[in-house]
Order: sequence, then C-alpha cells, then structure tokens
Amino acid sequence: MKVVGITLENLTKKFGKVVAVDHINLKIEDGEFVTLLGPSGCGKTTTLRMIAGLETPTEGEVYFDGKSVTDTPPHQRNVAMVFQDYALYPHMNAYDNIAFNLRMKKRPRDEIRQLVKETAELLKIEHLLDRFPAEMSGGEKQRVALGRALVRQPVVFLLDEPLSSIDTKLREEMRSELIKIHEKIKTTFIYVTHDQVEAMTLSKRFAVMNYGRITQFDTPMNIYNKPLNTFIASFVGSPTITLFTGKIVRDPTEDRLLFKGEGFVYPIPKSLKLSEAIVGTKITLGVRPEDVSVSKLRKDEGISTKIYTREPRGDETILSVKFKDVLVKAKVHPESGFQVGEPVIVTFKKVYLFDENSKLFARWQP
Amino acid sequence: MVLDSIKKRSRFKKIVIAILSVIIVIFLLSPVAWMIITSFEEEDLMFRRPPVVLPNGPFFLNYQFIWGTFISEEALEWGYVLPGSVPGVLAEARGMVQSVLNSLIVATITTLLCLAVGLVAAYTFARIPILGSTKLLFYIFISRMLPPIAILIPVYVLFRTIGLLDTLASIILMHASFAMPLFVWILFVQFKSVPQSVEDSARVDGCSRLQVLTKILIPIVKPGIIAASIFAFMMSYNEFIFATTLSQSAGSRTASATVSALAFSVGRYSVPLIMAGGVFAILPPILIVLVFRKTILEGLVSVFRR
Repeated sequence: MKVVGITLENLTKKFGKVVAVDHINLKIEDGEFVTLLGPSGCGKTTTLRMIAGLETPTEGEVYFDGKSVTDTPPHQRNVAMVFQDYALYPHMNAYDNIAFNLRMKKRPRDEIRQLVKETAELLKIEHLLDRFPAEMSGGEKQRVALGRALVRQPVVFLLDEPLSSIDTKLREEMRSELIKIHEKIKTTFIYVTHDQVEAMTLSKRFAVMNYGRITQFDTPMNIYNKPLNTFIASFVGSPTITLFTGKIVRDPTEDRLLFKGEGFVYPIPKSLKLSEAIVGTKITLGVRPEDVSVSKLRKDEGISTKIYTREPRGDETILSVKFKDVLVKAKVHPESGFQVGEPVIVTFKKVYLFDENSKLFARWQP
Repeated sequence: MVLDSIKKRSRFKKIVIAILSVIIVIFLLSPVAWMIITSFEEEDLMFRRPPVVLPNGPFFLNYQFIWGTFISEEALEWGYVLPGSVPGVLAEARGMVQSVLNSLIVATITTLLCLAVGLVAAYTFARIPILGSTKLLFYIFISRMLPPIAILIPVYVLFRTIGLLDTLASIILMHASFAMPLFVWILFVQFKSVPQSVEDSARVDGCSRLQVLTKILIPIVKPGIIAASIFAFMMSYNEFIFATTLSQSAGSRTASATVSALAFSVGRYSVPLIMAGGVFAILPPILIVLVFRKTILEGLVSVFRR
C-alpha cells in the first residue's frame, strides 16, 4: 500500500470575514498517526476537510508526497474519511456501504466481496453486513464507517472526531483498536478531536490548535511537560492545571524572588536565574493536580488552607483547596483520608511560569 | 393492574380511531358513491321522491355515449339530442375519451417538467450557497399564495399573443408553473434533511458532484420525489380554471374542462351523463393510485415524517 507524507503550507481558509484556518504549516511524515487537538471552532475540522478536498483553501497549498493536490477534487485524492456522525448511506446496507467506493472504482465483483469480507473480519462486523444504518447501534455504525474507510486502502485516513458520539467503554475499546489498525496497515492517519485523552493516547505527535493556528506540534509527553502557553497547559491534562495570576516581587527579607498571587506568596529558587526585567510584570503560575501535595503536617514551607471538596474516583481522589478565590485541584492517594474542612498544608512539586503574553518561560521542580 | 389499564386504554384508543376513520371515509366517499350511482340512472329517476336507487337495474346508456361510437335509436329517443338543435351534450360527451387522454398527457408532461427543473432547483437551494437564494426560495413559495383567478386574464392574453392558445402546451406550461413551488419546497426540505456529511462522504468515496446526486441523494430522497410528483400530477389532473380558459375547442380540453362543458353545453343537459363523465374522468387517477399504492404511501409518509 502506498504511504504518503502530507505537508500543509500556509494553509488558510476564510468563510466571509471569519478566518477559520490561519496560515498553518504542518509536516506529517509517511505513515504517522497525527492528531489535531483543539476546542470547537478552532479550525481543526476545516483543516481536515481541506486535506480531503472538501473545502478549497483561500490561500496556501496541500502536498501529498511533495505534489500539490490543492486543486484536485476529493474523489481523485484517494483519501478516506470517517465522520463524526458516521455519514453512512441510509439507503444501503452495511455491505453496500463498505463496497461503494470499490464499485465506484469498478473493481471486479469477486475482489470486492473478498475485500469487504476481510475488512468485516478485521472489525468484527460480519454479522452486520445485511443491516441498514437505521437498524444499527451507534457503535455498530461506527465500525461500519471505519470499515468503509479501511476497505479502500487509501493513501491517508482522515478521522473527524470518530469516537465522540459513542459511549465511554466502547470509546476506550475503539481507541486501542485504532492503534492496532494503524500498526497493522501503517498508513498516514490524521485524527481530529477535542478530547485531549484521545490525542495523548492515540498519536505519536499531535498539534494543538486555537483560533485557526497551530500553537504547538510535538509528542504527547513534550506537550504535557512543556506546554508552550497557558492555553495548551490548560487544554492538555485532566483535571486541568490550576493557573494563578500574580506578580514577581523581591523578597524583602531574603535575596530571592517571590511569586505574589491572590492571598499567597511562593518562593522562586535562585537556580532559575530569572532576569531582573521580570520583576513587577504580570505573570501566571501554573501547577498540575498531580504536582500539588497536600499534607496534614505543619511545616514552614507551604501554604496553609482547608480542604474545600473531595471527589473520590476509585483509583485516585481529587481534592480541591481554595487560595482566596482560586480553586486548586490536587490528585492524592485514594486512601489518604482527608476530610472536607480539614486544615492542610499545600506544597507544589512542579511549577510552570508563564509571562504576560501567556508564554512558558520557566518551570522547576523544588 | 397498571398494564391492564394501559391495555384497556390502548384498546379504547383503537376503537375511537377506527370509528373516526370510518366517519372520514364515509364523508369522503359518499359524494363519489352518489356520483357513481347517479351515473347508472335514467334521467327522470333522479328527482323522484322518495329517492330510489336503480329500481330497474343499472342503465348503461350514459357510458355508451362516452365510450361507444354507436348511437342507438333508443338513445335518440331518450332525448340526449334535442330535435332541431345542435347535439351539444352528445358532442361534448363524445369528447370525453380524448379529454381524459389530454389530461393524462398534460399531467404527465407537467410532472416530468417539474422533475427536470424542480429537482435540480431544490438541490441547488438546499446545497449550493448562492447570494439571495433563501429570498428567492421564499418568493417562489409565496407565488403559490396568489389566487389563480387573479392572473387568469393576463395569462390568457399572454398565450393569445404568443399563439399558444387552445394548445395543450399552454395548459402544461401553466400547470408546471403552478405545481413547481410545492414540488421544489417538498424536495428542498428532503434534500436539507440529508446530512451534509453523507454528501461529503460520497465525494471522498469517489463521486463527482453529479454522481453524488444520482447515486446517493436521489436514491435517498426517492420517496419524497415520488410524493412530490404525485402532488404535481394530481394538481395538474384536477386543475380546472386554466384548463378550461386556455382550451377552446374539444381537441385541447382536459377531463375537468370537458365535464364542466357537459353541464354548460348548449341545449339541455343531463345530470346522469355528467356524472358518467365524472366517473370516467376519475378512473385513471384511481387506477394509478391502486397500482402504485405502496410507493405512494411510502412517499407521503416520508414527507410528513421528515
């Protein structure tokens, strides 16, 4: 099977005055599994539709293996797309739905039957082939839609939030199945989602999009550990990162800098060597729930507060404490036995600092 | 207990629905039944009080006038042709077969015109954004609100000027323009109800825009197309005002115009003969409905369900 690398160059789409996609550049390697992650309206679906050829870019080019396909209509691109609402043809049964593209390509009957059979086996949908879309459940439709894409042996798979309308358990199953399928057929996958868990688990690399731009394109671990700005930091990770706005001030008693937030101060280690210019500017301090430690012990370092809420999740418990008006979430061991209202000391294990333009400029582990 | 009461209630509901349906059917069919009975009656029996229903058995002469070429002595005796006058009723009645054929031709071509133009129009309105298309669709639709009589005279003058008066073409053009708005509207709604993603999916799956229409969209909205075509066909078949105004001679009359011509022909008229003409005129649509009843029902249901 042919495997294609995809390059987007200055790709832009305007709908009237609205800029949906704003000069994005992206290079996807052959056979890579890439996810476009972003909130609704960030332009990720439009980008995918431009790769499919369903939208004509206002500006910029789409290249498949270095060849521009910007003006190629969708039916000549040999891309397969899976849609959020499945988009099965309601007047055809599952077999005909899957066979449709092969019939359009005028493949011989026996070959079509063989290919549909193989695909159905791979997705475990042999028993559904006679059914019409109206007679299938959401998960079943999802599999047929996936089968319709797989059977074609396309040069690239485009998946537009394919798992968003099926239930959680099935979604987890399909996630691991998608990974398996990708490992097996090794075609380029471009996956669009607003669910950061899907982006983290499925892809080798993913791109975070916002306001029509790609804000960061990297491996899941790099994005998680080095989010370029507050938007990415708060979009990736669950429960979300806590962000405090405040100022850097000089410690009057010691030779060090302090972060002064609403109702608390936090010392910044000297080893960071922050420039003097930062003093007095508006900055944001971020801390992820798993980096917040809560203890009952009285220590000098740390901020004393009270447990505000407690959400047991089985494998972990999410506590929240209040620093003035800001809720701080903390992940703790499920058997740590904190009670709501109990006074505690909070310390941070890892801290991110974002400048006044919300850009990450420092992070440290005390 | 609860289940019983639900069962009881649903049975009660069924009975009520059954009774109501019977009433509606009686209400709708009794004029037709009366028409059929009268068409088999001798003329002087019609006004007898108390009324009698076919005391001498059915009387076929009325139909003979319409269908047969043969006019018996008996017929003349029965007084359909008045001595010394133009055999008006007779002449009109003899035109009935031709008129029904005319009606079928007009209704069929009207429907085909609607299909050819309306289908593409509805798809365009539903899918291709053109500046002002929503407004245009609205104007097309409100043209249905216009009372036909208001434009009767201008239309007459128009067709006289372009020399199409007294031709089937003029009637077809008028019927098509009257059936088109509803036709476009029904199909517009049908096309709109198909998710855009189905169309996108087909385009990615290897269809050109035209193939999307022929292979995906038209098969999906087929029941709607059938329903809209039936509306257009029936509207044209039943239409009276334009058909009667634009046709002048018997050769271009449609069934509805001829039935009325039976009543207004010179000399005297015969109610049973008019009724026979009416029965004859409603036969083709009834046959069509009987033959295609399954498809038609499916189509109508799909239109109202969406």
